[in-house]
Amino acid sequence: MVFSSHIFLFYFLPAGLLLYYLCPRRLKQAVLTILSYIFYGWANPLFALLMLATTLIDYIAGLAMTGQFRLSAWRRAVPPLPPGGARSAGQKAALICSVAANLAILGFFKYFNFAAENYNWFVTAAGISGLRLDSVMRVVLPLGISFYTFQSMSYAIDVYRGRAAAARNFADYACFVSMFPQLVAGPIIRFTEVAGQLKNRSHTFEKFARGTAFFAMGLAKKILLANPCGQVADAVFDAGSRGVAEAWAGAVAYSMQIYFDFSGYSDMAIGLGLMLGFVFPKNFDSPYLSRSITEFWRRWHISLSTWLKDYLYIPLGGNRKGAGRTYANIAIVMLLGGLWHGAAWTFLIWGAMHGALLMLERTGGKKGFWSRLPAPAATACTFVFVSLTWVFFRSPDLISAMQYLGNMFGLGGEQQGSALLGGIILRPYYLASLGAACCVTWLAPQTWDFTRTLTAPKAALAGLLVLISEAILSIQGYNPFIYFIF
Amino acid sequence: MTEGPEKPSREQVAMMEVGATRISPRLARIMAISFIGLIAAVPAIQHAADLSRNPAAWPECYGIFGAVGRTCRDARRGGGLAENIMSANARLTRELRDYENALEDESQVNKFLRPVTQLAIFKAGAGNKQVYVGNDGWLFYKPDVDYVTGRGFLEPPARPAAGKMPEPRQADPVRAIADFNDQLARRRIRLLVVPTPNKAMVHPEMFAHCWSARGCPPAGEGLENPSHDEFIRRLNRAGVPVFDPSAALREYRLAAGGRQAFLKGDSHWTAPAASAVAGALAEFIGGWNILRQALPAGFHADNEPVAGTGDLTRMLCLPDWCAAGHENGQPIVKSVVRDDKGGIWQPDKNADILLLGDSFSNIYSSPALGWGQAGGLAELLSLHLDRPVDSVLVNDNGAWATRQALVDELAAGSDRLAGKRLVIWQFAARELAAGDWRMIDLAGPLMPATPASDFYVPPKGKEETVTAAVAAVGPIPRPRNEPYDHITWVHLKAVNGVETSQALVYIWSMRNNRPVDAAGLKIGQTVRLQLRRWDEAPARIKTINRSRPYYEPLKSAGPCWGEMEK
Repeated sequence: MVFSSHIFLFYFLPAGLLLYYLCPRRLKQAVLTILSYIFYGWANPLFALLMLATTLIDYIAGLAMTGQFRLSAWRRAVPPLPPGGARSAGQKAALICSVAANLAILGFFKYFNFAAENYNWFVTAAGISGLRLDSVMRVVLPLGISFYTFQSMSYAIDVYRGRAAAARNFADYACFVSMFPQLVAGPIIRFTEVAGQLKNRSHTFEKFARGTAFFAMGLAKKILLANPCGQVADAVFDAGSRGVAEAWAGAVAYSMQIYFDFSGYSDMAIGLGLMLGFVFPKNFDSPYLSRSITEFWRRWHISLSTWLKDYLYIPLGGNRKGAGRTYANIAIVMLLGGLWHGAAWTFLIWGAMHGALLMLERTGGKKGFWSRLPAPAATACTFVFVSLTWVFFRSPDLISAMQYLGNMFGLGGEQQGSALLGGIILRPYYLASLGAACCVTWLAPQTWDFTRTLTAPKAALAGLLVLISEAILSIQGYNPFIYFIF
Repeated sequence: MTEGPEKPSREQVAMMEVGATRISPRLARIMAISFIGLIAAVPAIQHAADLSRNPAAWPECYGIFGAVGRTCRDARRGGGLAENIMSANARLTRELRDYENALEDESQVNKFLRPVTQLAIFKAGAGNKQVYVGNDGWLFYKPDVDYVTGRGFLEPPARPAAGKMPEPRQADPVRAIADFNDQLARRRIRLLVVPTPNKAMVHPEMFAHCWSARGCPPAGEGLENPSHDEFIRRLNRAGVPVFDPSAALREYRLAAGGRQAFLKGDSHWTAPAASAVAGALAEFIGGWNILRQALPAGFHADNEPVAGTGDLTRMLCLPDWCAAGHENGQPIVKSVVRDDKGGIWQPDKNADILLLGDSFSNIYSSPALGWGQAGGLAELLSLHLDRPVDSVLVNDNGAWATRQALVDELAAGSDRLAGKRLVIWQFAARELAAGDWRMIDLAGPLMPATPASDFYVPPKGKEETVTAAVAAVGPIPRPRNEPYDHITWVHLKAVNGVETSQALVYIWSMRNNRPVDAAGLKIGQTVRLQLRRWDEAPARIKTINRSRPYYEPLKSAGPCWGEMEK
């Protein structure tokens, strides 16, 4: 189920809110968990079983690490392990089981097909085609698996490190993993961030109202900006070749699509969370205003970048073990970050490009190229670089990506039919959407700031945006969420 | 990515942010209540509409509980555990998708909003998922544009997007066409392939303003997919002749200074353009000298004005007043071909030419397309050659559907290839990139004279009304996604109360872009249908797109044509 669908907006959400607010406080987690499983299982009911299995593994691992299986202590809260203290072999085994199970599930469902494809390519190139695995099964990717496995892993690691207390109540833990507002496309929430809220959270009209404003902004970003930009991007990226102007228009349109698609989803998730009494942290901080790639990664998909920092970069040694090790760590984190997004060489290259620029910026320091540019130029250069890397992110394969980049710089020839692309892009609707997307990106306040003070005109604007989005939704068949497949 | 000094956590920052929300308590209440009112209004209106239509029944949205219940019941029947779970999951997934689609398509609020919103978006130059808006209100079918802008259809396909499974289809048109040609050659029949250019190829100037400014071929010269020339070369190497209507259409347009060859709101050609193509095709065939000598048949044509709504206009779901006026730019006059006795032209099974064609052949011939009858490509070819022509026409999927229809006829004992010397295979050029080019065996098994005894078929020449339970329903297209009417299959069980009796029935699922009959059927529902044997169904029915069952025993069952009893 997607937020911007008829069934979610007009059936699941009102029914869910009604059930949630009518049920007694002690049942709210259970009701929210059941709603979340329905939400998740809607696309494929069997996927819900997979999520339940992941949840059970980590829940048991958490209790095993803290040695809290005794029924007599069932009603008592689990104390966290002492931070930095020694851990027994059993505790280590529980952590290893949890992390290994999560990585195995992620690896199998997300990377099996990729591995099989590359194996086939390798044996064919080596002249031993007889060893190809052509008849081997193909694995269907469960929605949002990358998000909830990362969430589950962070729980086990935090419990082991003593940063979080293990959840005693299964409904609390299941609710944390499956909570529908952020389940399939983030933000990636950590148990420490919501453990307190699971036990005790307030439900106020102020919170609910701000939630509706967040939701309205997110819905408008998705329906009114991301989707039309996506139609332009799809037409240009799916073309056999394209002219220079069309190629740049397509790349910018995709930059806008992915930003508004994902930040719109995050806004809706935060808004829904507020309606249910939860406060989720910011996931986007106007990333296209960044003056460098380093800054971009502090502003883009913050929940992922901080996850990678806390659970990968710092454990690898971070910047504490010399320059060479720091660069190696950045490279590892960005390559794995790329692969987290998708099982394809294009994602790996995308991560490598970002990693390379992060390293370059670190080398240059305050006297580097970016630092010497005036602020608007630095912002523009960062945006252009990010847009160029999105070409790898969006293209189906490396050859298509290289061809697209060539077209952006007038290389690679242009087929006759590509002139028709102008007929798609140069329509008032698409031009206006692209223009509005640029204005919102560089001139408008971000949703957190816009909703800090809510007045009657702002409330009216939010209501109007929901109405317009509803109307557009009634005719829009094109409604994908890019991050669902990650 | 650096480690900084201790700062408040992101959660703490967010908590502070939310805690700092400034809003008056009154406005907060108004916003919360308005939002809930807004999202609850849609189902409330739907409930009211459903109850006013049928006060005795539960509103449609509660149908989900029935679907889940049915799946759970069926999951316990036979088979291994894993097999049962997988099949129940597949069925439930489909039920959920159908339920969601039906809820959205049948929503009263959507029905009200859709035409008004679509009109506003249309005025701003955008269409919908399947329709692009060109210049001066011209409409283009998205797959047609994709064919021209997309990569060469003979190039290896791009890697499927993440999360999507590769399509397991035979995508090589040359292989399928050459194989079909070889099978026909063994029967001493020549094949002529007619890949029909689409609107975006013939009228690029009506799609992109920048067309002439780009140094591209001027209007009238047309466009091609990058693989087109290689395709023709490969077919010629395989000994398959090709008639490309592009040249005829170009000449037709140039003859009168860029005349319109395609309808403004439809994906097909105008009647005079179809006639020009038929004339050129007749001339092409005449040069071959492979047909039997025959006396002129005396076909002649009358002109008649015709008004219709284009398939693309219908797919846009514009307000009725707007849709009806969309073709007003030019009066449309078409031919009505008649035989020497003045009767309406009919396909002749004894003719030595057989036309296999899609909607480009069907337009002006099949009333289902809304542009009159007796003036399609087969009729016009007959007129130009002045000899009878046989035809097997199916609106869509020209890569596969007409060949399959021919095989169906052969299997049923009606040899449409008997006495033929030439088969003309017309299909939309976009099929070359996206079509289903599966290989088809013309010498496939004959259908048994009497179908499997447990599959009910009415006696020859009779129409019977039966009562039965719906066991399965074939795929049903969503309105606004398909340009043509559609027929799907329904598997019936317990026919007339006999527990072991089954039936495979084809019935309407979409007409005029509106879901009908099969679209409303639920598994387990009891229905009353008027049935007749499929081979006795009206000829016009067989030109409609039809989904076929893909698994046994339905695949080899004798089908019926059914109509829901009103």
